[in-house]
Amino acid sequence: MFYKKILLNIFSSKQPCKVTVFSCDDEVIEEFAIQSYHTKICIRTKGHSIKLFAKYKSQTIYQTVSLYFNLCQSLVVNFAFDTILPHRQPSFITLSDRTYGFPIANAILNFKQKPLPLIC
Amino acid sequence: MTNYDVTITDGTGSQTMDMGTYTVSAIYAPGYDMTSLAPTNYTVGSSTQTGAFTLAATGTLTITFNETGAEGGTPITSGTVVMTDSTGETQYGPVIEIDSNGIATFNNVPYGSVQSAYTLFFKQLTSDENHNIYENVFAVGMGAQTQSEYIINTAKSVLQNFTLTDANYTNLPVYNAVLSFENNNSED
Repeated sequence: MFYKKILLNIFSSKQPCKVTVFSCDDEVIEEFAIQSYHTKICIRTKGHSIKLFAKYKSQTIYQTVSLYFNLCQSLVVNFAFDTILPHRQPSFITLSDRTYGFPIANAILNFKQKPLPLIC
Repeated sequence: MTNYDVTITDGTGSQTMDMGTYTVSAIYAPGYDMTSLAPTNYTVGSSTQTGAFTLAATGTLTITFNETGAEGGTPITSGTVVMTDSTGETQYGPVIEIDSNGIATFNNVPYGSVQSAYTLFFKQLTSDENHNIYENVFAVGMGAQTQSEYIINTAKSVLQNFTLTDANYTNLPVYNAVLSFENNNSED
């Protein structure tokens, strides 16, 4: 059996997304993180199929892709993670003078969310 | 990253926000030092909550209480005054002492410009024993970082009763006379 050279075109609806590619014998062929919507990667395997395991935060997607007999081939894999709407809570804001304590009549405060830690 | 601009009106505002931690900054606050905002972090949890913020100002207001309400008048020698709301019913901050020169100083007050002054309200609480307090709430338009104002405290009038008798015949009342009393402290 010969090694097949496979160009994987991977599409992921969420990033960053950690992908692990397994051979048909469940050996890890490749493991990488996807940072953009579309990623290309070349792998080599002998088997008749490969398995891909993708993880985004708490969501996982598992796909098995059959391979052709061709020694070189290009495949498209799509990982469509669910869109989970962030939970929103109302916040009431007060703004007062630090020395005298009276309410400040007119102001605008900007709230800028800090970057979330990367979770693959 | 999510970004919210929350408008504050009369000290309050509200916004529905995604859960997470935020960096907070003041982007509009006339009369105030926007870099003084505290705190500068805010965390949205799993339930409704209130976030309390403060800003500091850098203006200084000097109020002189005297008998003319203008520069040069005879000052009172003691008393108290406080910042209030426009009705005078709600007091803000500490009661400020009026010193022996009739001066009360309010530090860290907000200020605007000549074209757009920041209005503050005050109420005099007490004066010295020889003067009447200014009864009404008075407004000051802070149009500069340092500003001086004058408030009138009239001298107290006390009813006096007089007798005029003959110097040679004890207790003989003088029937008809006019006495003139001139104030030795008068500035006229």
